[in-house]
Amino acid sequence: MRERAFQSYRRSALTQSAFDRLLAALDADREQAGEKYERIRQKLVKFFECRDAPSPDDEADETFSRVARRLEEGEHIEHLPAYFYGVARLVLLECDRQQRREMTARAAAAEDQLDRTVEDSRLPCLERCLAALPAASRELLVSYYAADQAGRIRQRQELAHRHGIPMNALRIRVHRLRVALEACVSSCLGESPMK
Amino acid sequence: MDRDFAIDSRLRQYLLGELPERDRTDIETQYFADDDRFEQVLVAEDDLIDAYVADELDAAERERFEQTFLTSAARNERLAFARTLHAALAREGQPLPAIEEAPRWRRRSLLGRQRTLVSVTVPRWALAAAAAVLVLGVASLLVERGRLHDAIDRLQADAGTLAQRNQQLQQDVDNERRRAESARTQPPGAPVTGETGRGSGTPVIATFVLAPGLVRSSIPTNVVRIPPTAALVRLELDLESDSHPGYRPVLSTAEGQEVWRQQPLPARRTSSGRGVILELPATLLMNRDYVLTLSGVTGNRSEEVETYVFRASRP
Repeated sequence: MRERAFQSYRRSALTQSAFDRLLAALDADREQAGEKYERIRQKLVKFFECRDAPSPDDEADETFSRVARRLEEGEHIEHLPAYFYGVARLVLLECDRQQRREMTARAAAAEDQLDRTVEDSRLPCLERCLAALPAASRELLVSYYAADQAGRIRQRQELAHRHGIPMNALRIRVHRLRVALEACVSSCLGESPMK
Repeated sequence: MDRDFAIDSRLRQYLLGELPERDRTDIETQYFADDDRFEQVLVAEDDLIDAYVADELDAAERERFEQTFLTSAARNERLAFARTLHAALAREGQPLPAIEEAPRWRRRSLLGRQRTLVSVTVPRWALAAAAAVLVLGVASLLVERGRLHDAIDRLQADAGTLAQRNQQLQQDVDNERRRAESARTQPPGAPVTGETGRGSGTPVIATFVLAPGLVRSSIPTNVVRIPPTAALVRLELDLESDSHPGYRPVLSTAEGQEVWRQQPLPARRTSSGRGVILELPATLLMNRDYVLTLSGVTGNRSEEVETYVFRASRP
């Protein structure tokens, strides 16, 4: 694979009018548009994470900027989610793959050092957040993670059956509880949510 | 459950970067379009992290996880959270109550035991409702299966049609090339837009030189403005170095959908050094961004050597 130097770039700031136009393109209702914006952002960050982008949040911002710019230029975009994906792929192509791996490895190593310093505070925060959950939700989490590998599938199936929901719905319910706990812990630690 | 397992397994491979490009694009296209699919990816990510924390990954997966998954601060943070969560839940955890077996005096035949248990614990109306739901569920699965089979048949038919169209387009290109060869003009430098072959009955070839590499800027570097009269678009793809006997061009949309490819072509002398020259019907290009990938082919091996991004523009 031919090596290409990663070239620095200038990112133009998203103007208020461009941002408003972007939200309007997502949904006529501003509240709904905000939710869709957040959802697309999560997907963009996930995409860039899975593709070894060095700074998924920055790449997501860049993608939003470019799409907003196109909308401001009057381009009619029929299917926005697919368009976001297409632009994200182009943004990604501009990162040299080798440099991506190096930069993410360096970033991860640095964060690993940082992580140890907050490890001690994380458990008390999490216990506080767990205690704040409704009892049924807490019990669900405890039961979900209780079994060892050998009996896990059977136990989770029984748990789903007890709650009268399919297995996939149980997993999603647990995932959402987990996301809520992560946000609670981050808030408790004084950091912004990572997801 | 088998379908869930297959989906989970595929998503796990996606998260570990083990899938080929086509499958990754497929998954990404789906989750960008569908929030439920995206949530499935997030759930699969939770499961993967949990498996790592519990030391349940095999050696290869573990290595892959550490090398390719733990590559961002956010993912490391998620791993740290998962460790803490497992520890906290283990401290709170209580085992699930075991399912009671029916007393010995109730164990007649297997069917009898089930019937007895069911008649004691579940009202008949609930049984009937559950049976109806099951029947409806199976029926809808069968319908969905039939629909998917139809979709597969349609896609296969479309693929056949596309292949025929591609062949026809290739023949058109060859015909046009033979007729226009003597009328070709080549302005030096790059990028340029040129039309050749003006005059009645002579097809017009619009020539563009594309620079390799990708420069991040607010304005697309390569813009291919296609005149309305152009029948063919000739693209000269500059190569930084020529180290393969042939180069296979593949044209895709920005979303990753392949629209055109050709057999390997040799590099030739161009206005700016060495490059690959290819011609494609102008009708193939719409007002959108494209990615053209050149793979160097030597024997049975090929490697991606250059990527060209351009925006096609029609008046």
